[in-house]
Amino acid sequence: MVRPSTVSVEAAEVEARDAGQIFRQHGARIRRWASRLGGPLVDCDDVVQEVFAVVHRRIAELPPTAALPSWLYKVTQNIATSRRRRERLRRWLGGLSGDYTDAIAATGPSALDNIERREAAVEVYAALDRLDDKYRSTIILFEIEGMSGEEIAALTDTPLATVWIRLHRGREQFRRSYRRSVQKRGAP
Amino acid sequence: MTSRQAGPPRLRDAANAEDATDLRLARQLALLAGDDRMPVLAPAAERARPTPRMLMSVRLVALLSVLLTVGGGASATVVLLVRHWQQSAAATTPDPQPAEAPPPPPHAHRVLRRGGLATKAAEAPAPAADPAPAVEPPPAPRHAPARRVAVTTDPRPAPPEIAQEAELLRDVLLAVRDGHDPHQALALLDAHAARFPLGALTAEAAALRAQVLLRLGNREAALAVLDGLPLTNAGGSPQLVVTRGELRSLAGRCAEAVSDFGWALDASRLAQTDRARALYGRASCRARAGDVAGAQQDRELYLREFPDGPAAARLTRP
Repeated sequence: MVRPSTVSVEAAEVEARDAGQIFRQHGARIRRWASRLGGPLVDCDDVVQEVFAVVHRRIAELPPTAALPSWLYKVTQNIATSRRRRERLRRWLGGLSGDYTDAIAATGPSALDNIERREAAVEVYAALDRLDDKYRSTIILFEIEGMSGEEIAALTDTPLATVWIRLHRGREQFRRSYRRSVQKRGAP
Repeated sequence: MTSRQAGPPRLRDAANAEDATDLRLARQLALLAGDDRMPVLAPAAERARPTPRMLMSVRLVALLSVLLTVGGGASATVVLLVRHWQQSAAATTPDPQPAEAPPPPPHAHRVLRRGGLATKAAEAPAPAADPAPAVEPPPAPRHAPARRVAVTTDPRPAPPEIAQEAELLRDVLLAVRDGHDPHQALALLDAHAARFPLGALTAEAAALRAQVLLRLGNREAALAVLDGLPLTNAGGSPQLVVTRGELRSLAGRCAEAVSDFGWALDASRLAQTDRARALYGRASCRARAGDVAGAQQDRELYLREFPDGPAAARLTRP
């Protein structure tokens, strides 16, 4: 079983333990994770802000040997997941259970490309959000973030074989779910 | 053992898939992969939208009942139920003495903290994703038309015309993207203009028209449409402003183009690809207008932020 101990791109960055430095070095990546893991229902700026509040508060507790990117990823994933669920709960309580319906609605003048991106986010995340979290995040990291299996294994501190299994099972469910979702919307 | 292992091909690379749905999925995944920032579908206007009070009450009570019953707090549930309905009745009945409104239920706060609605909501599977049978929501109405009304000017419930407008614009989108037929899209936009001359989605239709005209190569007409849109108002699309800046630059209207690029670069919602376009466009316009220092500044900024950007080679050329 292969279990890489570090994320390939970051060996030197693991040493950084200062919150400000972490923000400079990892801010863009955390924003991307927040955006992709949170999906279109969550404002990624809110997630990023909360992540850095946690980093600022907890960084001293992180053992020096711990992999910083993995820890940052876990914090981001937990906060993004929590926000996503809270948003869905809020919508459900408010009678807005149609989370992703009619995404063509926009708040301002919409370019064709904007509408396409919006529709893509809606349809893809409607299918993703029906999956178990472990499948959902693996598919997001592999298919959207473009990470390799090894990088995902290192980032999520999971055996590589488990990553492949999650990817295999998750993609089957994802494609079925996507197909149902697209057919329901009447798209071709 | 090698530390790398070939994985399965990515779904977004399935460009040769025979199935139309797989192709659609591949295209959408590629779009999302190329976009650092996900479109957010929770606009502030929707948050402010009044929610149906009764529906919210029923769902809240149902959820609390399940949570508290599972946690052994059945008696607290009964108390909470009674208090909640008393509060609802008080709120929906005209109150002759508004100053003496009933106090908030004291137990609700304590029970919420002890039972941990927020904690359980965060820890339990999302209701819509893995609903328990007792709290399965009924099929939801489609709310987007109402959101559109809230976003524009009219806070009242959406008239049916808005749904029809949205449907028509969706057909335009499909005609361009899936049918690859911009002429059909233009015909649909003409139909939209004739049918809804004062429609709520007129600005969206105009933006779409500009995009379709660009696909047809008709830059002058596209610019004429964009010139007529209040793009730099609050809520405007930075991407469209960049496009208008490029068209103005091509038409020799450099001062207006620089203004468009500047506005877009200051906007917080500008995607990285559009930022690169705006920086390059402004550098080009400033150079032509004789603003050498400004052009040099934009050039350096572009090369620093996008060393491998599409215009980097042109900018590094002596």
